[in-house]
Amino acid sequence: MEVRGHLELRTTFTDGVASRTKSIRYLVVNAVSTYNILLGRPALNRLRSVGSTHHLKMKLPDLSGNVITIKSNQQEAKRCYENNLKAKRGVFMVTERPPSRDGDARMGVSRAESAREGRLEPAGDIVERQIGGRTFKHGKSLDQAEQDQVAGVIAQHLDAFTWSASDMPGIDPDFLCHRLTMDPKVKPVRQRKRKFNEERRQVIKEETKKLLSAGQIREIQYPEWLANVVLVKKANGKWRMCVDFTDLNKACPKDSYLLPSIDALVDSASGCRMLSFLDAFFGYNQIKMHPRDECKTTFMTKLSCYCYTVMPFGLKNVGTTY
Amino acid sequence: MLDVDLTFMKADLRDVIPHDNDLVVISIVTAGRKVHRVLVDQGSSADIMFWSTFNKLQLSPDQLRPYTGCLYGFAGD
Repeated sequence: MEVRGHLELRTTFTDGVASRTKSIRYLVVNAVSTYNILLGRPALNRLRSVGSTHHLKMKLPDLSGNVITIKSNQQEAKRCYENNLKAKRGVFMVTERPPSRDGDARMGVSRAESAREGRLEPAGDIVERQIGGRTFKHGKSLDQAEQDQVAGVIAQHLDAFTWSASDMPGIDPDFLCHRLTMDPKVKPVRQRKRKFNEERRQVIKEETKKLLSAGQIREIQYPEWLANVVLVKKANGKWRMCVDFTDLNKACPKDSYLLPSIDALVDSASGCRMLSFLDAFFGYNQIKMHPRDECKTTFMTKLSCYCYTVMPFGLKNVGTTY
Repeated sequence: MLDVDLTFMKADLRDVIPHDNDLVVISIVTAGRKVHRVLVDQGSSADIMFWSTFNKLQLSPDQLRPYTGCLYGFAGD
């Protein structure tokens, strides 16, 4: 760390009512930071200040016996902290450490490697393991005690995991279902039927058959809302069937519940030795539509009209419910 | 009159948004200017000003006195 020198500057601390000015000796360093100044122990002690990270405040006396209360700027603190983390991640990629059993170093290395490949990869190999006739996979880097611990938890709650599609009863609609909040003034929209070529008609037919047998859609006779099917070609050449819910989405106000940001998640996980992920198997399709709103998700095919009983993709606000 | 009691009370929490381990970042006035993003860092044994801030405050390098000590990294940064 290069120190360019030091200088004394008269510095004022004020909360708008009382204030105190003191001479502080700053070391000027040639380093990059998101902060302008770090107020260390020399200054804090000379000011006789007391800080509380819980109350996010610093208090110090002024010369006439009043207390100056200086509040922390929470937004700025968050921004600075996140930016500093981002800067640190950059450092991680430059300093490549040899792989070791230490959790932190492993993270650093996988990050550096994945940055080169442009994609995140699991750290280490994956091992298969049998429990009660079921197979599950875990990372090779876990030691024997950790492996047994994980296996024990899984064995204990064997019935809570999904091993095949038939294990998915879905979520009880009394507990959670997707409801549409709509502007009552909006009139139902029936889209004009679009025509498809034979190849697409075939795809739609198969897809609806699949959904019907899985109980995710049902036939409906007098729908008020009617939408067209949209087919999108996936990267692997197969077709994905979506429904054009633009009219329905226009009638629903956006539910602006913010999803937790990835940065905050990573942040809250820092310092933990183990991090477990629970992935809900076909999570979207496990959440049922509210029965009142089922008929609004109606789409047409060549033969008849169907509506969704589970939460379809492409609807506004489904991400929030999920 | 510097021997007053400094206490933190419930009322001090009223304007705090619930947080998880936020840092204390305040604003001060120095060299006649308001400086934001000042980290209250009890882990630091020195009061640090970064070079970019020094420049932004339009201070002259002539004011700097040479420093002979050594500085190892920053805690909390």
